[in-house]
Amino acid sequence: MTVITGWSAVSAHGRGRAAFLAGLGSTPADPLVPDVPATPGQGGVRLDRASLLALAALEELVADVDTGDRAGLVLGTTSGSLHTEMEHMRSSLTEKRPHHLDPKTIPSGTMNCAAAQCAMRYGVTGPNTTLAGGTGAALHALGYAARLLVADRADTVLVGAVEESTPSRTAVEHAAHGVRPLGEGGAVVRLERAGGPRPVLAEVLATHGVLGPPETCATALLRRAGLDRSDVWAVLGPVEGFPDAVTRRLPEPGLGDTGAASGAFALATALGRGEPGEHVLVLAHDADGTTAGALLRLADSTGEAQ
Amino acid sequence: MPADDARRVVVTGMGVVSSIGVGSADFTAGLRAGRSGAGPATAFDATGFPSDVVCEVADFTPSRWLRALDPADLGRAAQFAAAAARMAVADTDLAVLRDRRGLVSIGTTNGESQDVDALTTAEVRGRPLDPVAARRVSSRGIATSVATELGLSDVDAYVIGTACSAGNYAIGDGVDALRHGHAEYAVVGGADAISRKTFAAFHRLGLIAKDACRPFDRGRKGILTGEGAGVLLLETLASARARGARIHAEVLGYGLTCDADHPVSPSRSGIARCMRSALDDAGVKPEEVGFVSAHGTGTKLNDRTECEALRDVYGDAPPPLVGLKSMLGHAMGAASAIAAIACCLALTEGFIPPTINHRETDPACEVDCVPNRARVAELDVVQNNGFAFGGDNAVVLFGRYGR
Repeated sequence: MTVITGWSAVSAHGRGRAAFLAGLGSTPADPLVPDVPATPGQGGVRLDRASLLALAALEELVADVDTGDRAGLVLGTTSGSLHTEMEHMRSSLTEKRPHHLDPKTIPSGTMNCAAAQCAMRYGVTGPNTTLAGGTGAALHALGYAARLLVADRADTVLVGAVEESTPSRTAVEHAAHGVRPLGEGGAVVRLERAGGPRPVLAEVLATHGVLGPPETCATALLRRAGLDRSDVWAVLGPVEGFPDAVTRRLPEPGLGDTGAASGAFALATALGRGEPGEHVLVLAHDADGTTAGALLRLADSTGEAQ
Repeated sequence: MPADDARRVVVTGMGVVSSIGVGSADFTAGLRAGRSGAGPATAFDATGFPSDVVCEVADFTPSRWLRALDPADLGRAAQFAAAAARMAVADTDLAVLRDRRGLVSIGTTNGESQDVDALTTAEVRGRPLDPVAARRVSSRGIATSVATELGLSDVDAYVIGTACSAGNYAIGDGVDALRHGHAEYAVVGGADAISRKTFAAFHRLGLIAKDACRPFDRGRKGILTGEGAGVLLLETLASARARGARIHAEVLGYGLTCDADHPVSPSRSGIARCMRSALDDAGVKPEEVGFVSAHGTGTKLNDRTECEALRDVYGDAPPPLVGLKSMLGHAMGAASAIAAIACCLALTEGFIPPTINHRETDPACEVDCVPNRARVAELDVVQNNGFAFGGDNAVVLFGRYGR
């Protein structure tokens, strides 16, 4: 059994847990995360927005237990900093020579930059994984992180997802899936094996992914957790068929399409607003036909999240 | 059935798309002959770059391999991955897999980089962005394409984006999923496509050789960018035996570490720790390892650091350290997956592939890199190194089945 013992989020509602919870359900005037510190990257690199958001998301969460060789970090994404990748190509097409791109931004051109920078900043020297999984990235990442714990490759894993909002992402997303409000941000939880000293916020009863509809994924999650539909207190995600449960008790974050961060925000919402002892089902479904999900049971008493 | 058969993980299928051969037979011949995949770039216009040599998969015809998907709907990385996956299941009754719970975990560095290049080009030239290419920018599509091509739906399908060690990461993910009963089979590997912006970025860092990649050579000048895919079908030994599958090799174990030290430079201690972790996980002693497939990019710093770390773990008489990138170029997220297949073929076919383009071993490296000619060898255990920008290290150990 793996458990969540902490979480944090950065969103257009503000930086940190309190701002996220206060803003839930409302739509902020500015879709961007305010006051993201423009921290210089380790090794003299100029960081992309996704990496800055990841660093900001960890700020409130990281403790001593999250550092060293037995600590891991798993970060979900759509495709890293798309803006940086496109900037590199723009430079290649428009600068005097085709390789005259800004060398300080080169590390940001690969998807693992954010996770690597977080590891460098905090000294997280265990498994460091970047997982591309669309809007379900954080839920896939949760399953992957749980496996690292079961396989005894780490004692704690910080796991979540980030997404940047940039003109490049907007142009590509609008071309791909139509014009709609886009948002950004990220959320990260601390996952560890049950039985540790830190207060438990929630148990992760099951994670699951399918190439198929949300209904299939929901059914599998319930079967794996040994639960009935009526046991589910709230659902975050696009699935019908929970008439007995009062579904969607939890507000939407109100942040627009936040891509890979959306699944992470759903986890944060469940952790921050779920009722003690209740089950929350989180699902993310993408246009490519994939669904990822997680089934959480919130702890009987809610300690102050740390 | 011995109790640990349910925890031992074996390779029962392999598919490879590389610059030196497509399919296991062609690829094996390429490895034995010390073929070079290098040639002038055709995927993009190399005018104005300091060099034009890359390692492309020439004359790749995805329709030869794909049965379910239309190649025109896929980016080049997904074409490679789906074709390699088809090859990997060529001996397998897909109905068996479709009835089981599976994992599709595919590594990449740049995802559909050619689509990103094309979208950017359209934008710069004031043309509308192609919606089909735009939908492929979500990198997970590579894994979804593999699952769709094979008709697999009860699968976790995602992409590991841990840059140049991503293929080894995905193999490790499959190993843990099988050992712990999270999946009954795993389709794992890596895929990447040649891209102009990747070529530009490595040139900007001064890490590209103009003519040839020469790992561990005194005169080495850097990498050649490459492309391709390697996909492996993994299952437990119990599962393979029960269905009478051909077993190519055993995945003995793996290790993951993060240097948390520098965005692009490797760390001797981080790499050494990863090798030790993999050996421990595999229950293998260093003296059992017949050769190490190096990360071996052919840059000054990588090769020296890798050799130092190898010596830290193996002592003063380390096993041969082979730089497959001398033949294949650096296929990025596919590199360690393609190398993993080379390791399995080395075990089954009894040879160590060479490090080609070799003239004089760098005294700072001082390893037996099996220069220029493949060597006949009875091998029991082979180690496959993968390191990445960001300090993300992944090392996998393979064993000859029945050793």
